[in-house]
Amino acid sequence: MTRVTVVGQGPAALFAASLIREAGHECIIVSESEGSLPLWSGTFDFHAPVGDVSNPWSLLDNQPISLSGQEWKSLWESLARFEREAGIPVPDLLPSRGLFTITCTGREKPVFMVPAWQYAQEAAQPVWFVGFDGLADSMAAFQCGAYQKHTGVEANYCEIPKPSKWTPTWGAVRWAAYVDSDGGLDWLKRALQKVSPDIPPGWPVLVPQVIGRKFPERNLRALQMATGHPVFEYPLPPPSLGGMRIRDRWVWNLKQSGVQFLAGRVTLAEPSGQISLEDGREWRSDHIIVASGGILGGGLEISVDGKVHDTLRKEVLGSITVRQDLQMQEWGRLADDGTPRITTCGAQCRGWNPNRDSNGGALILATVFQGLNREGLVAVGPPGAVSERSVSHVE
Amino acid sequence: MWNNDDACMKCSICITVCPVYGQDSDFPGPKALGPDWFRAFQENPATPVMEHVDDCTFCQLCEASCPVHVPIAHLIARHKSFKKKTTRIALRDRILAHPQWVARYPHLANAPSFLVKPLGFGSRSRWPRPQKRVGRLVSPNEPAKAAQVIGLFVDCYSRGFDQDVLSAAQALLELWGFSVRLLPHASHCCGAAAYAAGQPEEGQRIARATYEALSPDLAGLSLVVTLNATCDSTLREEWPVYWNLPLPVPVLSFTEFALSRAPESFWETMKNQAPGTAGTAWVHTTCRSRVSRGDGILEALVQKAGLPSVEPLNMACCGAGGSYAFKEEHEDTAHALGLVALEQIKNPKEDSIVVDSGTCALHLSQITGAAAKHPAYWLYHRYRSLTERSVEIGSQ
Ligand SMILES: Cc1cc2nc3c(=O)[nH]c(=O)nc-3n(C[C@H](O)[C@H](O)[C@H](O)COP(=O)(O)OP(=O)(O)OC[C@H]3O[C@@H](n4cnc5c(N)ncnc54)[C@H](O)[C@@H]3O)c2cc1C
Ligand code: SF4
Ligand code: SF4
Repeated sequence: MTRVTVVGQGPAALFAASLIREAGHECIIVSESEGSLPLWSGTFDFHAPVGDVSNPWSLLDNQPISLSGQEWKSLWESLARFEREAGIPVPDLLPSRGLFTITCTGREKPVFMVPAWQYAQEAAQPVWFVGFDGLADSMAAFQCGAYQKHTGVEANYCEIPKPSKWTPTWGAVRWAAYVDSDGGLDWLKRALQKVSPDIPPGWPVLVPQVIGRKFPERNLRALQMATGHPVFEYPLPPPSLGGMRIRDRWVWNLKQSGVQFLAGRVTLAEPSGQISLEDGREWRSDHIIVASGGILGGGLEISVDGKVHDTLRKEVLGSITVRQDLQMQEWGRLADDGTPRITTCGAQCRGWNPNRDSNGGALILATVFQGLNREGLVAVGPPGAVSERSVSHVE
Repeated sequence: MWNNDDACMKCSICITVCPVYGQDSDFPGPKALGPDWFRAFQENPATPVMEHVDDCTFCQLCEASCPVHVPIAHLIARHKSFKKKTTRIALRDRILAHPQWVARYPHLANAPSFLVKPLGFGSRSRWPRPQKRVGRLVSPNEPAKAAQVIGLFVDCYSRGFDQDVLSAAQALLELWGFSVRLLPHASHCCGAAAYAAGQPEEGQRIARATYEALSPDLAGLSLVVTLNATCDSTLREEWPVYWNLPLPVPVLSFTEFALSRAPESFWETMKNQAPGTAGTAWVHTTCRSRVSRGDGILEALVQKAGLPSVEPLNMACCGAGGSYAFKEEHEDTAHALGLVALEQIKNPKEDSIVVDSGTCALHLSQITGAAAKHPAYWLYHRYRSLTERSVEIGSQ
């Protein structure tokens, strides 16, 4: 059996591991800390919500790596398949023209798929926003105003008061634990029942993404029954329950399929397949995929003089002017797609800037595909379709 | 003393992995108790102690998740050390911080609950009972030639209560051709219990005494094998980093040692079908071993050992936390954390739990009703039932 070691446990590593397992190879994940997934809602982005987004598939044309329409489609389908296998409720079929989800600032954001707990629509329609008093970033009035302004569609909002158990220390994770409890779900049902007579029939009710960590599906169903309206979540800034749920379920699914999640800092990854950890452990793999990110101080480090080091390969990649806002932006530019010696994927790859371009999802799919292809580990999509640059419609 | 103690960039990742934060709505969480408190404390040493700081289990999952390596759990241990306690709770915590005392007189653990309850011990967790040693194993093939000498670290729990596990591990190591030296001679603790309970200085003192007791016995050893995951990472990682007590020989868990050093002939025997085995072997990698080495290693061992239908338990920290579950104020949280296992184990009579810590095993078996034991125990009994040739040496 071919043995592959993946360095990192962020979304790029998880996606790579799923593809590697699906291809029938043995996979070991080794990571020195958590990846970025619990920090974001789990909406795999491919473009900032600006400009003409009427045909989301065409946005894939603008990504730094050129892939054919078939390849993109196949990658999104793989992502959906892995999420479904992990018990994350995403649909089987991708939409031909894409969907829009709504952010906590009331903006529409194109998506190909979101888990069933999150709101997404094909075209703007009237919605009812619910804000929770005492939850930062749930600003229903502002959100509603922005949504109406950008879409020209009717919307309304209300704010529900905090529960009696609330304390000023409550963040999203605490709120979610509360809603998972019987008392918390009851409180929310009653609070929404109070406002539901004001909500026009048929309007979806949008609540902040704190409707449970373990049981969001059950909780949302209960709220739907209680109000008589379809109830969905809108995503919030980090740490984000959407990403946490996806991480929890995806990691668990990989563990069950036999993937080891070793804890340790990789200090050396050799082209021969030799891996060495700081704690002295060593092993050999047939392939190494480095998905050590960079956003969270992982694979790349910036020293005080502005030099950017690749901590794994012990190379200086370049230097930047040390300014807080610049650091994030320049990491992607200075990193690379892997030297001829080692294959990298994820946030470490050159040419991508997900913080500016809001294309973290496309970055993950395309770079993992490129990396695994380069190693000859997986073939995605029908043979022959590789690298033909044309994505206009995938019907 | 610490690296990165002021590196927190407030990403909140640690909050997303803390088992207690997800369970107990009064618990402020790793970020507030660790780096936030520490920053305030650096500026003003009179910074008040947070009320629920003691509810942290010291599982270290927060620390392992932190992208900038803030020693979160260790900062929390420091924070705990400032907590004022009543005399009775201080006495209880002093006893629990010294499991080496309990290990010397394990039968004291059977004191009736009307005696221990006033001291702040909970009534929900039953105390363990000392187990009998098991006999040697004999290979059906050629007798093993003792070559390398290895140390087997006798943790307090194994010494006091799990002599069956300790002797099973010893029997396996000898079967594999190693000469085993039990260390240390007398009852000593690695200091983890005191550290976890917020007595870092006392932990260091205990650890130093153990280090000194161990040192003369380390001569000629190629390696020290551990049974308990917490002692394992404490000896290997915390001793050199926090207490300046570097051991001159490598420390390795029984699990990893078995995977890498047990001879092929052993695994050949283990491949056979054992009579009358049914049920699922649920694997729980304790939080401390997950933090130190990772997940999936224990699964690899029991799979290689041919245990039928191996399943990982989906659980972060079981709530045992060494002596955490024995404290009255932690009973509910400890129980709630352990209930996650009960949701998964549907046939406790047939199923078994493989877990690399005695206190976690005790806690999990009390909650689920399934037999929970260290992997050495399961490997030993499987080998024995496959060969039926061991000689009972009786209890010692
Ligand atoms: C706050 C935030 C919000 C985001 N929001 C979105 C969003 O809404 N939509 C979207 O599509 N994308 C979003 N992104 C994603 C982002 O754009 C990147 O695409 C994503 O972070 C890339 O993930 P990755 O797996 O490459 O790296 P990471 O998630 O950073 O993972 C890197 C992994 O490598 C490990 N590692 C590093 N060095 C070593 C070493 N030497 N040895 C062992 N392990 C090592 C780390 O511990 C970590 O586990 C967001 C990211 C952040 C940080
Ligand atoms: S994970 Fe580390 S950096 Fe992030 S909030 Fe926690 S302590 Fe701070
Ligand atoms: S050590 Fe464990 S219980 Fe304590 S704060 Fe960290 S994650 Fe939570």
